[in-house]
Amino acid sequence: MLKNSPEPEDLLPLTPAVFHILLALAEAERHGYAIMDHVTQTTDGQISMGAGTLYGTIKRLLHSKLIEESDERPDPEMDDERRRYYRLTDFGRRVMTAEAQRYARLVKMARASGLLARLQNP
Amino acid sequence: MKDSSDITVRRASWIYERLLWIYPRSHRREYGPVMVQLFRDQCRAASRSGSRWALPALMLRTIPDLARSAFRENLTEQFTHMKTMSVQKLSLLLFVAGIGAALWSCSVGRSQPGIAVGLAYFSGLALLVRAFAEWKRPESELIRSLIWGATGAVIYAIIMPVWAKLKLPVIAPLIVIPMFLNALVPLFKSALRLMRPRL
Repeated sequence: MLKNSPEPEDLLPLTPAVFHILLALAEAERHGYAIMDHVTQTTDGQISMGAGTLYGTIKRLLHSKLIEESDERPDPEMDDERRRYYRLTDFGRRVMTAEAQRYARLVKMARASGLLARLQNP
Repeated sequence: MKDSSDITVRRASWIYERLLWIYPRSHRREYGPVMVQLFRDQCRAASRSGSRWALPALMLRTIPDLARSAFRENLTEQFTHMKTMSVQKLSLLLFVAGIGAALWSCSVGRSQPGIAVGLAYFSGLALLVRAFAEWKRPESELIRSLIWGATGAVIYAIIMPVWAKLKLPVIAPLIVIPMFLNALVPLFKSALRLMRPRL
C-alpha cells in the first residue's frame, strides 16, 4: 500500500512517456512544446507524443509532485507570456535517479547474460 | 496579405480547439489553451518543413492521440468522482442500476433474448458491487441497509419467475448469490455489532 509520502521506489517503473518528460526537465525548465521537441529528438522520433498525451501526463506529474510549474521565464522578452514552464522537483529528481539506477542494473544484467554484447555485435 | 500557410494553421487550430470538447470540462479549462497553443506550434513547424504532407500527417497523428487521451481523462474523472461519492449514493445508484437492468431484461426478453440475458448478468454484477459498498456503509444506517436489501430480494422474487417464464438461459446462482449477499451483508454486520463486547 502507498504511504502518504511515497518513496521514489514506490513510483517505479515509470512509463516511457513519463520517463522522457522527466528526462527533458532534468536538463532545464521547459514549456510543453520544448518538452515534446526534446522527446522527439532524443528518441530519434521513436516516441512522439501529442498535446493530449503530453498535458495528461503533465497533469499527473504535477499531482504526484514530481514536477512543478515555474514562474520564471528564461527570456521574457523573447517568449510568449501564455506559455507554462515546468521544472523537476527534488522528489522528481530522486525518482529519476532511482529509475536511472534501475535501468543501469538492467543493462548490467543484460551485459552479464551476453545479450547486450550480442545486440551490439550482430 | 496573409500567407496561405498561416490561414491553414489557423483553420487547423480552430478545428483542434473545437475537438477539445471531448475532454472533461475541468481538464479543458486547465489545459485547453496550452494544448491549442502547442498544436499551433506543431502546425507552424509542419508548414515550415516545406513538405505538403507534413500538416495532414500531423492531423492524422493528432486525432488518435486526442481520442486516447480524452478517453483516459474522462475515465480518470469518473473514478475520481466515484472516490468522492458517498457510500450511500453509490449504493443507491447500484441498486437502481441493478433493478433497472433486471426490469429492462424482462421487457426485452421475448424480442431480444441475448440482450435480456446480458442485462440480467449486469444486474447481478451491480448487486455484487453493491454488497461491497454496503460493507462500507456506516453502522448507524444498518436498519436502512436491511430494508434496502429486503426490498431488492422481494423485487428479484418477482422478476426471476418472469425470466423462467420467458425461458431465458440465465444461470440462477449468478443472480441469486449477489442478491442474497445484499441482504446478508447488513445482517452479518448487525450480528457482529451484537457480539461486540460493550464497555
